[in-house]
Amino acid sequence: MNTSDLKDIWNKYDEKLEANWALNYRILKEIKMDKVQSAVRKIKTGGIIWIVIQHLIGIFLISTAITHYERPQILIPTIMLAVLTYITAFWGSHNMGLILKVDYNEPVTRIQENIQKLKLSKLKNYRFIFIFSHLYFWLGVIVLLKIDVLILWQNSPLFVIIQSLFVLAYFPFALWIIRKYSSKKPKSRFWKALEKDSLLTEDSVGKNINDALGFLEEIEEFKKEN
Amino acid sequence: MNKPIDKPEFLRTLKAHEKILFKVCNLYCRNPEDRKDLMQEIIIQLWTSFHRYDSKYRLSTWMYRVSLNVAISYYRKTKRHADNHFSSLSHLIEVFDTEDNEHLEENTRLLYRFIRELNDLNRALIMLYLDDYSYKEIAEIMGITVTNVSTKINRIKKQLKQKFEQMEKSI
Repeated sequence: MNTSDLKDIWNKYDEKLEANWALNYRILKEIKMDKVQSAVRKIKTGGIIWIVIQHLIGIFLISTAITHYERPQILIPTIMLAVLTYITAFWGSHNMGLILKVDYNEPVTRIQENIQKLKLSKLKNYRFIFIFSHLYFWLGVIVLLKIDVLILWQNSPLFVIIQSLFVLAYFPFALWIIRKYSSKKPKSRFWKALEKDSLLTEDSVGKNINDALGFLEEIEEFKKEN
Repeated sequence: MNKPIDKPEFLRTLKAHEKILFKVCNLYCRNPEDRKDLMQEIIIQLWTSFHRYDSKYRLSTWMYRVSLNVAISYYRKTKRHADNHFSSLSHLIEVFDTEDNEHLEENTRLLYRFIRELNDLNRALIMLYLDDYSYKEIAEIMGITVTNVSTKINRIKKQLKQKFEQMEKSI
């Protein structure tokens, strides 16, 4: 078998294609394609709104920190909250940059690299939010309600100890869940149900963090001349 | 601001090169429903990218580039799209299974199967080669060097030939 044989076989396949597929152009003509385009735009708008909200929260936190600079029991949680907020805001901006870079007109390897990087970045972002969500919640409660932790400690030390232990215990718990999601071992029905449509699993952003990394390596390998 | 897209022109372009879409969908999706979904996604991306088409390239080259990019991204998602905004398009596509199609010759079916066994990037490469694109055009679509295209295509051709030979021997 030589090259022209392969091409001959392919051409026969080409001839049969029209008989196997049909695109209804009459219906396509009637579809409002602009509406479709606006659905794509909505995805980008959603990302921009997320970044704006994070920045507004950041501004609120900075102003709170300035107002309470003499009260470390409010100032410290506010700064911690602002740091967490800005990390997610900058991460969101980074993701937005990657989304805007996705242009299907570009060469296959370049665009696929961008898509895989975006998947990885979004997944890491979601996981970061998940890990710190409990701490974020309590810091938020302290800052919004202007709770003086020292007074709370004096009035109810047991409550503070228990809540602090919960916050601390949440970190290994969150990491355990993420490790469980990432595991390649067969999972029970309970875990499969839990994973379904979860932002922490790769289905939400593509397939798998290992898969995305693997494909990036595959692209690198593909680009090499060997 | 993007210039408005001329819909009749877009549809004419789509019709003139529809086989590209059919081929890409057939080679990247096994399930007929997935193929329909992929076809929808490709049409959407072609529509949204149409105003950015650079006339220094052939239209078919541009269509291949967009279609392959969408297909490879789509192919890498195992889950079907839950939040499909474009389900309204599904009824305009009729699709049949190439592998099970009795009208296809055995050799065609085999070639089709062997190409499907390649990884997604090599699959794109050989598809372009079999469709008579020059190494330079393939290099532009894939974003690799011409030398690299040539090396890889020779390797894939060798693999395909070996598979055919093995198949012949086993019969």
